[in-house]
Amino acid sequence: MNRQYRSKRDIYTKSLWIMENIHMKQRMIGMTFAIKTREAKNRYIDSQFKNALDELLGDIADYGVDIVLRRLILFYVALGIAQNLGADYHAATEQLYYYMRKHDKETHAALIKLVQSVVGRSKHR
Amino acid sequence: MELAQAGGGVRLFSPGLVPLLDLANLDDKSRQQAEQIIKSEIAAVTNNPAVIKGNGCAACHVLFKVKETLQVSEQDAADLLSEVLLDNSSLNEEFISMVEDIHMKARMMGTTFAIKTREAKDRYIDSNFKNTLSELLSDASVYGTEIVMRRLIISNIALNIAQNLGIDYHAATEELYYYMRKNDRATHGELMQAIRSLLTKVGSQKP
Repeated sequence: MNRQYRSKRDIYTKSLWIMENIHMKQRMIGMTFAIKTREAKNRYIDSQFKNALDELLGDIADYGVDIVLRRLILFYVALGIAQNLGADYHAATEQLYYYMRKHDKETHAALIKLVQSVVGRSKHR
Repeated sequence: MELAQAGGGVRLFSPGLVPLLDLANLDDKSRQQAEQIIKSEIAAVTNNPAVIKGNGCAACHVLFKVKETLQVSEQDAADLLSEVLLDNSSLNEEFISMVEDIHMKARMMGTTFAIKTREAKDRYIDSNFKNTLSELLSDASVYGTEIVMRRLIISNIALNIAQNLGIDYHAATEELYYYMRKNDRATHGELMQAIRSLLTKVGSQKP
């Protein structure tokens, strides 16, 4: 069992090493992160993870759940557009915002409807 | 720096959102000043695209110009930019074509989209917007709200990591997944706690 677990962990570590080598070192992107030790990288991701969750909770307290959910959904839509277009995230976001400005009422209504439908299904309500 | 900060907030431009927000009172004078700044910055960037350094963001450049000139917060500057562009459709057109020139045509990214007509682009964004909303709704029915929320939050965290590190989204997602695999129980617990807090607050919100 332990051996199996160790071998799985080795595969994870190796696949991450390959990913870092291709996406960061060879492309010279995010090099300051890539050259850190694994422990330092883990600490960095850990702080990002916790900060992001705290930020979401803080935003819920400040602005309300609707706004936070709307933001998460818009992030997700813009990310989908960026991936489909092969454009960067900023360009995709601006394309989305341009479209939403043009169709302000419909898009607002569609987003609110989705937020209400999603939370309406929750068992935590 | 610009990339990291830009990921921090979504511009909240819909008038339907105004009652939901407690935003600073942005007067007409500020709006007029912001409009002038936006116009002149769009002209400056169009005339000399080199003002956007490296892989910088053209939209963020305009946003931060508004922030610096009017000495307002980033959120207020974002609100002013959104309101001005919402009210002024010709400026809205100029703004998006500036973004397309810098981010797509000059950088040779998404050029098949950039060379389409505005109507075709709008149809494409429209279908993407509607598809994503339908997909999320269907996932909420099939897998449950918690799974959808988890997916939204994880993609948000990965995006933040990508922006802060300056790496691509795939690499950031893998870094995040590696960390989550290593700390499976703790990260699952934290995520579920955040989702529960979020959804519980929906139930207790005022209508």
